[in-house]
Amino acid sequence: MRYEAIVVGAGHAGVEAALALARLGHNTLIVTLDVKSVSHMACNPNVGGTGKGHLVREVDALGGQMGLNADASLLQIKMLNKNKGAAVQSLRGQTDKDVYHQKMLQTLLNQSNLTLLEGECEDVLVEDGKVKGVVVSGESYLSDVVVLCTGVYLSSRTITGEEIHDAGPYGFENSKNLSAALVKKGLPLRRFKTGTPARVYADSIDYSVMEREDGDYDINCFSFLTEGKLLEQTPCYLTYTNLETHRIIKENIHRAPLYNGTIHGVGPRYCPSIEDKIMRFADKERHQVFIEPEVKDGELMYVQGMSSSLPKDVQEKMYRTIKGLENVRFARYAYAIEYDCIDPLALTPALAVKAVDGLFSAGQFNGSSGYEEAAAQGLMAGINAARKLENKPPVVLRRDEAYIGVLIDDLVTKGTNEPYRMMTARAEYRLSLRQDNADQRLTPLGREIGLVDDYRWERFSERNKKKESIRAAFKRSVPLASVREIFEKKGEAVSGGMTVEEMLKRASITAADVLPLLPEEERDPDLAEEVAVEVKYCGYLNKEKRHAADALKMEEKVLPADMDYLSMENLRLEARQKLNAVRPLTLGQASRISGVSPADIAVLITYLVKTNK
Amino acid sequence: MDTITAISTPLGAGAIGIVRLSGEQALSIALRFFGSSKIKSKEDVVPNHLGLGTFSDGSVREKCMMVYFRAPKSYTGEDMVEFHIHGGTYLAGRVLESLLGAGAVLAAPGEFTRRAFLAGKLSLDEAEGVRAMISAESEAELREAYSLMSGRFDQKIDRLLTLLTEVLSTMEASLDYPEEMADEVDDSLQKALLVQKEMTELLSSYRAGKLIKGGVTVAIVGKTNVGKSSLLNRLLGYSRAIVSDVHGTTRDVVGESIVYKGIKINLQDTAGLRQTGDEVENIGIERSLDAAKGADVVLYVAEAGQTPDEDELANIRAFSKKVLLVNNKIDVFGVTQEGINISAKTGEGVDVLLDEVLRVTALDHRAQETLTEERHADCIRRALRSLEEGISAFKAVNAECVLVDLRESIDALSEIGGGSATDRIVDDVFSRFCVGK
Repeated sequence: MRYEAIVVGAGHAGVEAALALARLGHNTLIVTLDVKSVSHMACNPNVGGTGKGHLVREVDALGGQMGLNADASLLQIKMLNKNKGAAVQSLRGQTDKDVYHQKMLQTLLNQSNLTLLEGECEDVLVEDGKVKGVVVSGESYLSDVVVLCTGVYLSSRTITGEEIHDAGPYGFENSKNLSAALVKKGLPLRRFKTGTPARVYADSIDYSVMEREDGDYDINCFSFLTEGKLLEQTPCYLTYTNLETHRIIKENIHRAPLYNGTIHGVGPRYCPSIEDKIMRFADKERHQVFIEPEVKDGELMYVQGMSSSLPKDVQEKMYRTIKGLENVRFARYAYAIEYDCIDPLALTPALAVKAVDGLFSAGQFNGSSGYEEAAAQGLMAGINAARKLENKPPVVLRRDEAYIGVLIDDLVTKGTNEPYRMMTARAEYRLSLRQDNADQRLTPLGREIGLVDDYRWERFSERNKKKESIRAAFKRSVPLASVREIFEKKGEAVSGGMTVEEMLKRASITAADVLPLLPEEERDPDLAEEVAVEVKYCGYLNKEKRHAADALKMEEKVLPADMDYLSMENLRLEARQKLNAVRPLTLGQASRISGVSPADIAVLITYLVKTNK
Repeated sequence: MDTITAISTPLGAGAIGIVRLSGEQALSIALRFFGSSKIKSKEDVVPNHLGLGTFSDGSVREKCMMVYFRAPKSYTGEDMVEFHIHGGTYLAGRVLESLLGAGAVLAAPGEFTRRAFLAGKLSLDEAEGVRAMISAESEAELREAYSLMSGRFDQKIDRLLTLLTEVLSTMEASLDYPEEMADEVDDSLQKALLVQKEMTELLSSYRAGKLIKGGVTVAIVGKTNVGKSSLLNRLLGYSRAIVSDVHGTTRDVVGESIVYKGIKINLQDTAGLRQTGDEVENIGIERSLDAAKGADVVLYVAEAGQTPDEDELANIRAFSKKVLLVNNKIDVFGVTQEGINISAKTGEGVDVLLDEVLRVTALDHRAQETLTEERHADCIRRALRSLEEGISAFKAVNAECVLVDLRESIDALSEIGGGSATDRIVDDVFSRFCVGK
């Protein structure tokens, strides 16, 4: 059987990679261990969150699927940091896991150029350093490019106290042979760990003693294509652990695999198990526990904040100390999961595996964590695999262009010692990389790549045109009487007429205040808000732009692929080794490698000049 | 990009010192200090033309040459200005300080070359120069003498980084974990103010620190034939200056360095002070006074047993805070009540004199964190500037805006020891706060 491209794994990375390849016209095969696990949300029932919401918007702006799929399965939507500035606001949506899976499966099945195959990928075929295809359940499938999106399935095992299963997440089968095959091909694999809390029966919870958490009804959804607001929403609930919960955990800590040596994998610090939180932050008297629906009106609830690998009897005892969970019944117990993944330093910024030509990878296999991080990489790996087939240069997003750029650059340049999570703190150009302007930043590029169809392009152009005219309207001056009227409501004095922009620069004036000043046909409150953000941030945005312009000069200096770093005696030993491992594409990327100092960069420059490269 | 500046000639050597500026603001910064009868404003400056004028800033008033290279026809491809100043580290240093005070930032090692390279201009010779500079910087022996101080300095920078990281990580954690951070106490502003105070103190130690790093400059002045050159020779241990009994033998400033107790002492012998009709000698006397003005310590040498010339001494004390009265020739005339008694001829008392020189200068700083490197001072200066911008914006704008300034600050501070500020912040978020579900 012959395809142009094969994607291994149909989780959040795999589906984006496969859809991108197929949509760009390449005959693509996507392999999954189990059709029921397509886009399965193995952990929390939500999409988005701080930083992650940005990734979803960016995937959408480039023509990816995650935003649309999340919108189609939303149970609740919330704008995090709503009371803070626009740049740090992120969308988080509760989703119906079944609907999320079903919709994505349908999208795959309806996609032309795409074949879905159920089976276990056991090997990657490589000849003379070039990928030739894969072996699925004993049969060879040939292709020119392969994208590995194996998630947490590689030689995984789940751990609940003394109970250890050779299995994937949520009881799915794991991948047994691929790990060893990849090691043989020279891929540097290592072991990471993550975990998930229990799923409990909805009817065994007393919600009346918990705090109800509602969504926002006045905000937009993830996709730039989704119209209207989410009017019908399902609540979540908030409760807390207490000293009794903590006592039970401490008494049983010797039975915790994390603490008795059973687990060797490196777990994420930002997703700590409850036993970790109790042991590391002994002073805290309580921890938040969110009760979230797995599906709409379904029988199961997700207990956010109570991830654990303690034995089942301890889990029951500790969960039942929590207010509202006194009589809780367990459907699935919390578990930790260990799995194999690649050291991302072995990848190029195009997410290509350096050791094997034509092999790409994305998602948790690359050492990240989270559905959104996976989808973002899946999309880029799919795009770059397609461009490889087309003999086009790869698309590498810069750190000042997208969170996706920050994510991939961090992974392949700095590497990671734990599953990597996106955070707004990692984005140095945070004010420019807002979720509201993701389309402005990326949709033109998506169009160029070929993933933005006419419908999306027209919608984008229309939105852009409207924004332009609002920008123009903001520059017009407002008669003194109107200015005075608005400022009087705020109890502030004004001395003369001014433009809308000048008014907006005052902290007290919001987009809503100046909306009536716009011509009737331009009074779009969402777009006005977005343009107002540009005005309010103006001074700081300019600072960011200056930094970005400085950095760009370094990004534009390409390092030759054949640099022999190990023999460059003027470099410090550590720098030689790090540069050789990462093999940066540009001087800019080289300067971000940990262990490479400004002096080392100066030496590199000297070398480049001397050899006229 | 910032406008950068640096002394481009080797420290301490050569008859002419060159201080360079490169960047958009190069000419406007230069013209804040430089002027001549022909040059009153930017429009009067002819590119590629070396012109004579005066560099003046407060106490510095120095005749020097300036040349302007207009972008892109310059070494770095940016607007550049060079000042050619009369020899010696001292004046070049003062000019550099003025330029830094006017908004230029100190060039990082190799930065002129880096800019030239990025602008697509660079010859091999100059690129090689970068490497030399880097190797000099890492020279172990240079550091050894100051290890005690630099150890303390590193600790101090670590402390500032830790504090500043805590400020940022608290703010960042609140942005990334709004739900979990709701009940954490936010003392960011107080901590930021503390960092500001400590940075300011550290910067004020810079002058003292520079004394130690560049050495202590000691001018030997006094009337003719009191034995100034003999003292120099005694200190050097060999006959460097011409010694004779004829008054006014030394007609120029003679400079030489010794290392005493691990500290470099730059000695400057000068022409004797007296009224004379000899024009050449008068120039020499003028230079003696200039040397005294530029020195960290002035040794006013007089003959033991004689009352020193009070007017002359007062005159020197007017421009130098550290004047030591030295009574020479005690082997002939015996000791005097006031001052330090020595004999240049026998060497008696010379150790006491040198100890006194060290005591009155930098050594009282040995016990404290002291800033000695100009590069470090520049990092802290920039870190402080951004921190202050952030602090003043604290109440007025959202946290993510304040963080733009605070990031600049911690990035500048991180340049001293290297390492990524972001990694440090992310680590701190997870070690101090129980966030993540």
